[in-house]
Amino acid sequence: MKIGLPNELLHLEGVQDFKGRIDQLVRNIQWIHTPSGKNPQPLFLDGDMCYPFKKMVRTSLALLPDVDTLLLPRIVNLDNWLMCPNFRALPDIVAINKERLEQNIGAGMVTPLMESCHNDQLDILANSTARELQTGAGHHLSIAASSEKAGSLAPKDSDLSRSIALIGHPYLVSDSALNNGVPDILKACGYNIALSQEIPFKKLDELAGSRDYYAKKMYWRSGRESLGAFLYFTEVNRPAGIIQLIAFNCGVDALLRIELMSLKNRMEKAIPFMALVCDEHTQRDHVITRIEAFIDIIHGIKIS
Amino acid sequence: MKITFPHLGSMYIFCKAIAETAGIPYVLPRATSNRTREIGEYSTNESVCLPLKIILGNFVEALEDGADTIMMVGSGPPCRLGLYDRIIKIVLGDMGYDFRWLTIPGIFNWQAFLQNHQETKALRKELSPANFARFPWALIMGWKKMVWCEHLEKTAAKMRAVACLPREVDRVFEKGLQAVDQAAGMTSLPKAGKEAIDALLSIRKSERPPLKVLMVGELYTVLEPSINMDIERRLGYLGVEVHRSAYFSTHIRRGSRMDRKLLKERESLLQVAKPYLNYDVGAECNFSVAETILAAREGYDGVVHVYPFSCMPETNASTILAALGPDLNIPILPMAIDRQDMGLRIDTLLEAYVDVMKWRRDGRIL
Repeated sequence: MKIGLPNELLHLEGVQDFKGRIDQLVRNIQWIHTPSGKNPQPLFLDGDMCYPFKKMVRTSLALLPDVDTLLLPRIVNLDNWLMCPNFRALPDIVAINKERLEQNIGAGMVTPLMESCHNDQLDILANSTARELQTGAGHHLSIAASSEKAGSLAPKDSDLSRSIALIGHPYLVSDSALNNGVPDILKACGYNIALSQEIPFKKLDELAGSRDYYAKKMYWRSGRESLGAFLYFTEVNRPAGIIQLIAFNCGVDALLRIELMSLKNRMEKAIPFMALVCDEHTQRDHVITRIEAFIDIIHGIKIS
Repeated sequence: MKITFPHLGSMYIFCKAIAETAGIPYVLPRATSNRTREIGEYSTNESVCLPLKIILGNFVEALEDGADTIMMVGSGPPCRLGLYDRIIKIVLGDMGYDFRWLTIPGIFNWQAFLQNHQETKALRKELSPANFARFPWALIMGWKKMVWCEHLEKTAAKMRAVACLPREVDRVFEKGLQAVDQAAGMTSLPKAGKEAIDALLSIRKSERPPLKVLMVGELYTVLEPSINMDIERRLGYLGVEVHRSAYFSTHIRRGSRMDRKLLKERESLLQVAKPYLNYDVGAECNFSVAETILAAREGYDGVVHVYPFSCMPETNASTILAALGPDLNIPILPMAIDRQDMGLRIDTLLEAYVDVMKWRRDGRIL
């Protein structure tokens, strides 16, 4: 059975975990995450949407001719914190485009609702999704999801002095098509990469919580992840610099960028920090120039 | 203490009435201008939505004019509006302003109550028992004024489309708003409101049949003319009667969750949107879709969808409306509003859109 799951979603821990559980339940799944070739383009997709979302829709539609079923979770929240509203509408936007494609694509869609957060509930969701995938039944299940992954890195004493921390949405940090190859450019400049995704979310959440007050909580999961990572890399274990990767037009990043820059400006001994906006039109050369300038700043600080 | 609040349509009359009736000193923010916008643009970034930029500009100008306490309308997730107060406080702090803050919760719950309790700690010390005693009365007065303002706005939108001289409607409307604003008693308010309505209705009408359009979209953009580039007025001049999907009172009633009728209406709108959206995306996204479907059923000539550039829920609505328009055979004009001087471009767009609606009505295009 060929099951499509867009590669952009795989960068989310909760989705990886979910996929792993389905793998255990259904035999002979051939997962396809990247489209094979010539693909149907979306007819209806607002140009103002952020690049990662547009790419998710395009990949989803492009996967359709290659698969028997497209698995497209409707991710409302992970770890008790909200995902951005786009994730709620993703299956509907893909379905609207699928129905209107000229060629008749027979692949079905299964869109489990990832809404709440306990490990046992994720098992229930994986079970019902597995049944749907096997029977080809309808969609729109609604149960639960969690990504209580243990996180690996981030010991306080690991030396990050030759590392640059990358913070931002998991798909943005991990997908070179979305981030213009920033990690590779940094590596080519002789720096290691420290990722926010390598720190357990529980830790990030705890750090982000220090900025909450009453009802004014950072309610987006990715917002908490980035804010927590910024606090971790400035207060717990400092790398040589921090780069925040931002998706152009992302509402979460737009606000967070202001908060992080303010935090940085208030620090007595500020760490080099740069916001890099990624979108469809960003040229790699520009990104290289900015990174080179950023590294010069890091060197300059060391010299002084 | 001098309290201030942002501009949101005629909400300033509501806030002003509360402050005046309760005897609380206030600073009315200056009318939104290019400078207001520029302050917001300069102090934030390109992906921040226009309402935040303008609200920030309103606050800066009010602080310059002597305000020391900011009152902000709150909201809940998943839209960005729920974090406006958190971010605006950071920006104003970084700009060096000293101020106190009070959020009117968009959703009334315990956390919001505790936050309000904390935020008003210092304020309560500065208020006298007389201020507190007059507060319930002030709320009633503010609410009644707001209802009259909305009644005036609806009447003006109808009259603008049919008046021989649409600009006369604006003149009478402004005069009416002033009268409502200045009315200080429970008897003078309905008198002022009624007189203003009568004055609007007595404006000389032309014979042209008006087109009927529904304006849907993000609440702040729908309500605030300085954000939506005065689309309602511009369409009115072209002979279009604009109905809004929501008013400020709708936002308050939805937020309070006490109005059963509105709660039922909310559920029914979510159901109407179901063929296109199977989950509540947040803010007004599903309502924009549902109200467009209802507008098509009710025989509206078209729907204008307004939203700030980069608004997350409404970009989804915009995508769906693009598919929905041909399905229901109704012309939908999406307008992502940002900054810059878009006036002439908007006029051209609206003129073309009105032509399409007229031709459809005449049977020249189907």
